[in-house]
Amino acid sequence: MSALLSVKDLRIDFVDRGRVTNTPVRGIDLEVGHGEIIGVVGESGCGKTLTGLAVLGLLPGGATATGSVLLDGGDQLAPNAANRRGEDVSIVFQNPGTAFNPVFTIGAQLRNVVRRHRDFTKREEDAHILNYLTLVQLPDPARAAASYPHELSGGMLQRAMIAMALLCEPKLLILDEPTTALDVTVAKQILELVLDLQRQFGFSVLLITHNLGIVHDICDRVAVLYAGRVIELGETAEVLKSPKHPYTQGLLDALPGNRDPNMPLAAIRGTVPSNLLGITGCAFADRCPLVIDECRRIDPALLESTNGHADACIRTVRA
Amino acid sequence: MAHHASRRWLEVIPNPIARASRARPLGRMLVVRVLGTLGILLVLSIIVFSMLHLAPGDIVKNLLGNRPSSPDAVAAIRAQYHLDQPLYMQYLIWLGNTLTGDFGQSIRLQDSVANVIGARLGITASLSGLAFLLAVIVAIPLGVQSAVRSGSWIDRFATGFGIVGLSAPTFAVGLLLLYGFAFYVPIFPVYGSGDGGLDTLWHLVLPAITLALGLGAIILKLTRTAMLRELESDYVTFGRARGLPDRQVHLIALRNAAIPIVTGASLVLTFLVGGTVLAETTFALPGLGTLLQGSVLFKDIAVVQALTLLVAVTIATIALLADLAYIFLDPRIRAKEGAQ
Repeated sequence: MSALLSVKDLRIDFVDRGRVTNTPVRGIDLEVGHGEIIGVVGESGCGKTLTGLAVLGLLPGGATATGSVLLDGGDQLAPNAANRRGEDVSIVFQNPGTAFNPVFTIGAQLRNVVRRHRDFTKREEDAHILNYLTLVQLPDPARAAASYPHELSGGMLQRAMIAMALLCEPKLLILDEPTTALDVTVAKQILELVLDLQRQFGFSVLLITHNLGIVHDICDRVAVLYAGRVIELGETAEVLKSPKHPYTQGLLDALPGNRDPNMPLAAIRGTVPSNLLGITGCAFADRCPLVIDECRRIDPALLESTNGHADACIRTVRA
Repeated sequence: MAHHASRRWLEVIPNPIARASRARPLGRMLVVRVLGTLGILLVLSIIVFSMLHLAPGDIVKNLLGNRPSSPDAVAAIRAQYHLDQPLYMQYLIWLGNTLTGDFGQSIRLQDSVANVIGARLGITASLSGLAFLLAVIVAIPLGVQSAVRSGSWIDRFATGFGIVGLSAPTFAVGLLLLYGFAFYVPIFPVYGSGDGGLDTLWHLVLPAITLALGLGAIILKLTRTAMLRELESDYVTFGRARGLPDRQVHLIALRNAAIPIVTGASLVLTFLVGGTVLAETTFALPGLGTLLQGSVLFKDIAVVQALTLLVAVTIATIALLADLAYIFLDPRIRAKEGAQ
């Protein structure tokens, strides 16, 4: 069965007056199967969100993408990708407080989307919107629809945003840090809701997060991004249990639960390079505790070691 | 189905109870504003009255001109205009008359102030209205386009237009337009207000453009800035991510940008008050601006007082309308007003 989403050698360049100023995404390969939940993890600035936007065909001004992004056979880098947004692919953003327009009611904003994609009568629109607001378990859907964004809590807004994203039954739902702006208990409820809806509708999920805990809880597979590349990819359980790449290992060590509570948390020293132009060798070399001379010369490719588990470290012993 | 019982759910105001609780503070706000405006008018009238008395010049001399005057004639004039009374009595007499709707007599024009102002109000109102309309019609679409196509030739043109409009003095623009389009290429009349109707409108075109240039430049800047900010906000990206076409996204952003634009444009309207004096003088229009200028020079207190109050009332009304528009446009402000 062919994948629903197939990203091949995606590069995103920022161009200013004909000159490439930065390349935040440097050749990403990623496939998302039908009904699969895949996690994309990494620090800020590793290209997660840009990859998500490229899948939507919504790159910011000044950014150009090369490679290919095929969603159900449709080219998302083509100018007509706008037609599939909201219809085939949808996104839930990090901050529900700013993603809704403050001067329109939630209902009016949902209606805009239904109008764009469906040929419903006003009554059918009402029913459709209420149906989805009920699906996301908003306590009083009719009231929520009549509310302005500032009248709802963050958790309620995030539910409304999920309803909005699912209105036209997309095949792929992108969740960009969906719980970062919420407190822990609400975040848990939102994730449970997403899982629940995913089982019900069978859409695929591309979950962008920096939180390995969330990945562990809901993702089938995980792709670890560093400096605009996938550096480790595999089944969630397998990657979290036996990480191959030192960066993934570092991320896991930095989790509080994985350490002796009396010890200080382990942090990966240094920061992500802010500009990725002209990097030779492994981009992680400067921060890697296990760096060897070859790391700075050889550009490591993402290679499979065991069944479905791949990583981009030249030190990994492969069969 | 649940939605049957709650068909009203898309309406702006969710239920009648909320409507009532929002209407009451609105009424209170109106009362406070009107009372505040009345207070400002009172203080303003005292200040203007005293300032005119402090200014050099003598009304009696202005009236009698260079003719030799007898002490009797001077005394008669002083008595007729209550100039023999102490200053505070003069003010109180004026205040008493004004409160009963009598704005007094213009010493200079020998007519009632109501007549004098009434005869000139139309010209100034038409001029200001036309200028404002021109400014809004040109500046808002141009501002939106220059924000949407930021950095394009249209944006650069708009920026240039804004700089010229903001920095060119009104009288200079007026003279330039007169020279260009009334003298060199005689399309428009040189001076005066015409014979009413379309002819007057024709006479008002150049002065209105003169005023609209400065006004439009400010509205253009406001629109561009507000639009740029809205276009960068999350909800615009979110809207596009839902598949909304660009045109609709821009309209929605303009709806949000309307909040700062309306506030700004209303403030700018007050700029018209000073502007009309210059434009009316340049184009020799018999409006309130020239009337104010003449009356101040002549120390025609009654006219100056009435004009000052008229301007103050106009500005207060515009500010109030802007605040109401704000409440109408922004549900967050509406909620805050309701909570107070």
